[in-house]
Amino acid sequence: MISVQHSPHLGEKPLIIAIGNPWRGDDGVAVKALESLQQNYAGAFEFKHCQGEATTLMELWKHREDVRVIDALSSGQFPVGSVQVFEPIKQTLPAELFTISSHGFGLFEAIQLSEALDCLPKNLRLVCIEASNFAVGQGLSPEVKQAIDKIIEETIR
Amino acid sequence: MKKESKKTKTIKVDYLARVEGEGAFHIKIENNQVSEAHLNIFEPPRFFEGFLKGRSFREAPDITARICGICPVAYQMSSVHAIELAYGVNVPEHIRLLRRLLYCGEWVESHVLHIYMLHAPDFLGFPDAITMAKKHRSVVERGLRLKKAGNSIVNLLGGREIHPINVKVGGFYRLPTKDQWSALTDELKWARDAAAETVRWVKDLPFPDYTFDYQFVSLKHEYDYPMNEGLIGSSSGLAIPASDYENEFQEVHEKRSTALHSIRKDGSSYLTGPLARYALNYDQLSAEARKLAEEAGLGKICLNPFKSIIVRAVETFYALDEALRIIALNPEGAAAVDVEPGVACRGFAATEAPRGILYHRYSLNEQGLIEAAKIVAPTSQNQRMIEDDLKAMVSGILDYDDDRMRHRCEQSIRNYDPCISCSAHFLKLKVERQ
Repeated sequence: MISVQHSPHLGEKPLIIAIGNPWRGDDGVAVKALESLQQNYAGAFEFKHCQGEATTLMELWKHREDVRVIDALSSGQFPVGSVQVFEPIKQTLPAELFTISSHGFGLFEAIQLSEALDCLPKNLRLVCIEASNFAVGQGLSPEVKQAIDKIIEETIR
Repeated sequence: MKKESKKTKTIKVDYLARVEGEGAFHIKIENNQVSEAHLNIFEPPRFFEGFLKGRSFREAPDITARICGICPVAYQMSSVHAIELAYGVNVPEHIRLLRRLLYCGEWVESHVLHIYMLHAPDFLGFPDAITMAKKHRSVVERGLRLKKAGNSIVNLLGGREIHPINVKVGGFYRLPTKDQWSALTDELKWARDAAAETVRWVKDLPFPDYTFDYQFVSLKHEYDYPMNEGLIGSSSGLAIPASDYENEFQEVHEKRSTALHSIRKDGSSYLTGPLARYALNYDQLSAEARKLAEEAGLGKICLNPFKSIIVRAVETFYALDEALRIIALNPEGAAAVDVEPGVACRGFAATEAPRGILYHRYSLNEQGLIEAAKIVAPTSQNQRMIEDDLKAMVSGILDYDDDRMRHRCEQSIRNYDPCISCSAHFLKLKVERQ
């Protein structure tokens, strides 16, 4: 098992948010990763799940210091199953990836609105997985399923 | 691709920003007349109808809550009411009130999200809520806090904010304590005042001068503004129980679309949702809500779909007013009544989701397993009406350039707050003009 290193703010555990709908094929990859994280790292993090609506995300990460978000992408710009990591505080987010690949008023908008209202977590890491299948009721694509270990590694580091 | 004549103009929007999820809209103008208006925006919950087969009736509230991330309470309410009707179960008054309270929370969440984050930027000339926040920070912050007030009700009574898990056939798994409700009261009072401010804010937005002759359909109740109970009524005089829904309404499949469209059996389209509820139940609003509506210049019936933002604001105020009224009544008692399967039976229910009527039907066998389920969501019911409205609306703005026309079309679609968070995401913007 990978060791976890972080510096909690006033004893606060980092928050991991999984975005997605487990009934929507690859959109459920974050929830699958979250289940594994909850089993193996229960004491090290706090865990939340949502479907990515922006104001809900903002509510979840408001006043938090350290937040990691797992979400599926459908940018068409990366191989299916590849994991991309973004840190909005340190880099400008490639809007074209999110505006066409996020939920209608979702993660990208939550980050932008939080920036505008000065309530973005100091440490925010997005762990995004290029996905391909969002059909109702389907399981994960093989490439996406294989990426779960990598997702976990990038989320907890 | 077939080349269009010079007199033909096609505007196609495959991605509607600030509609929850995705949307595809296609309008064709031939010889200076709108010949087609197609909206492909909603995928009915067919998968879930199949998935419910063979499941225990007790699983229906939790399974159907997964259909929509924005209005899970509506799915839970329609499912429990339908199954309780099938088994002849009457829940006690405190359960009835608490279900209504839970619905108040969802209305606040959904309406506030739409008013502040999706719809208001249209009227104020901002591309999105983020840009609006830079100019109107305090307004956006008020919206966020107001939505959180709705979250707090759903969280406490539903068990959690997203996909509440505390609802069961017969009642709830557990009930909050009086102290827990008391802890919310001050914030809900603030929220009620903030909702009144919201009405006063949106009433002065610049509205296009446009009306449409709607056939309204909503629940009608003798003394409550409808949420969980009532007959299905219409502005054309309909008054039927949910068990007659499929005798009066039908879903038709359009070859051009993946979606099913709901129409009356006579072929007419109809509108469900805030404008319909308001028009058919104005007298059931609280006195303060009616006063606010009057101050906002609404009248008893609103036929301008752009002003639906005002009606949503009035309903938000009403929901908070009603929530405080119910909490003050201190509804207490057993968390649920026992429900046991017996004979094979069928149950039906329609409740008022934020976007309109949500119809459920279940057939249950002797063991209480679901043999068939039918679910008709409000956006599916409104889809034909949205197309009719767009067709009429575009006919009046044919002189607009493409960008201006597209903006007005998007704004018009958002008037209906179509819920498509439960359909697939990730469509790309494509504008085609020939």
